Amino acid sequence: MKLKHKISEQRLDPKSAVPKDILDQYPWHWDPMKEDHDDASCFMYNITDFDWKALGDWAVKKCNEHLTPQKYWRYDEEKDAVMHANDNVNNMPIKDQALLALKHNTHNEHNSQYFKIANDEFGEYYEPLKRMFPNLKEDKMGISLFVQPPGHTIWSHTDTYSSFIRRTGQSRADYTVLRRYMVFVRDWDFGHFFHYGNHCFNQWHAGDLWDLKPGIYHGSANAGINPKITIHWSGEQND
Amino acid sequence: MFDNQYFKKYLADRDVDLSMHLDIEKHCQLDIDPQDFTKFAEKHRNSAVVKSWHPRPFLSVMGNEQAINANWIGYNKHNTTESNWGLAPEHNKALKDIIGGDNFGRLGIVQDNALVRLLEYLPGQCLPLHSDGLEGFKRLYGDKEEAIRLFVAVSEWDWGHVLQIHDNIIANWCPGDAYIIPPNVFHASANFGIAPKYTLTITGVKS
Repeated sequence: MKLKHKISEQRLDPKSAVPKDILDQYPWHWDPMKEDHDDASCFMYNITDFDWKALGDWAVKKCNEHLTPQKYWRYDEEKDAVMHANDNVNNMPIKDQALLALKHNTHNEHNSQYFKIANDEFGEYYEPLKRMFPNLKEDKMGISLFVQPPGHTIWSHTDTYSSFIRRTGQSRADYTVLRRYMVFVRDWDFGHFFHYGNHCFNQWHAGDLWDLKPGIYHGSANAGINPKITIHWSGEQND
Repeated sequence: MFDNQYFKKYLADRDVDLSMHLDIEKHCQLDIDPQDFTKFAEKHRNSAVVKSWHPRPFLSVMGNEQAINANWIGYNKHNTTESNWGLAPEHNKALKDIIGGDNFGRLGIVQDNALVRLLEYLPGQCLPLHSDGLEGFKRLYGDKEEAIRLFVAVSEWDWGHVLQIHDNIIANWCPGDAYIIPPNVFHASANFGIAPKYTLTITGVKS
């Protein structure tokens, strides 16, 4: 297998690919070797009054109806375009981070796949899920559930809210008011990895809620045998 | 896609139970310079063994069963490709020379009949859940019951570099950090960052 790029002899610094307004508004240490960090402080609590098992089982059944992960990342060499499934994201703020992962590295459409269930696709779950975060404006809130099959990763990145921008039609995101929350839908399992900054998660429980504060580099992988399922709420915080 | 019944049965048949905690402590710290190994990799890139996860005729029955189970649930050449050096006798010797006698002393491993492999995992690649068959070591030195396998971090830890040994996540490592991977314990690793991950596996007998 011949690589399409040279392995960088110098360490690639992901900070250089993050939009400047995120770096300015949410300064972070950007040092993987830093030990005295508080990256794990984003854990909030475990949500117990929801049937996460039922949601997880329902989501897997839904994926099994079509067996086609809707989302994956690739770099289109001919068009010099970053593609998120069928969407060209060259005009999105994620572009430079995506180029680091896809053009200058070996992440591709074969190892970045995931199933996505979003918003009204949740059916009867939609309303109770929407009510969970009253601090987010309902009209702009997006809810998405990712089912990550074994062998796939979500490359490390800082959130830039591209889906939010697409969904709301805004020309750019105001990162001062945006927020994302994440819940693990199933208990931790073999080969399930998630790093949030320098904190590597382990043995999470279904219902564990994390406040994914903007500006912190994170990513995930599944080297196990069961799908890894997370659900995310994104939106503008109420005034 | 999610037909993991065979792999689950394989684990259940071996009483692999995540709810049982396994203590894994750092074994020791080696004094190494990561650049010695990355330079070695670059110099010998054309003679690297480039492999992905699939059954092979020289693996044990156990190794092939695990590979078949992994392929069945979606592991393939696109997400499990590894470059490694060390199976060739000249690479094994050169890598042992780089590590040096003092470090083998720290490991408590006999240098002469150790097998060292330098592994390179590029971003997007992972090593699926498995247990070690030590096939390479056995081919070289025979089936020694007392053989042990160690993981040694080479490159500085970077985001997206992880190893799991049973229910322990090993991350945030420094170059030279060494851990014993106990026999028959299932483990997995991944690189979902943007920098190559270099590690060593060292297999040998206690000195």
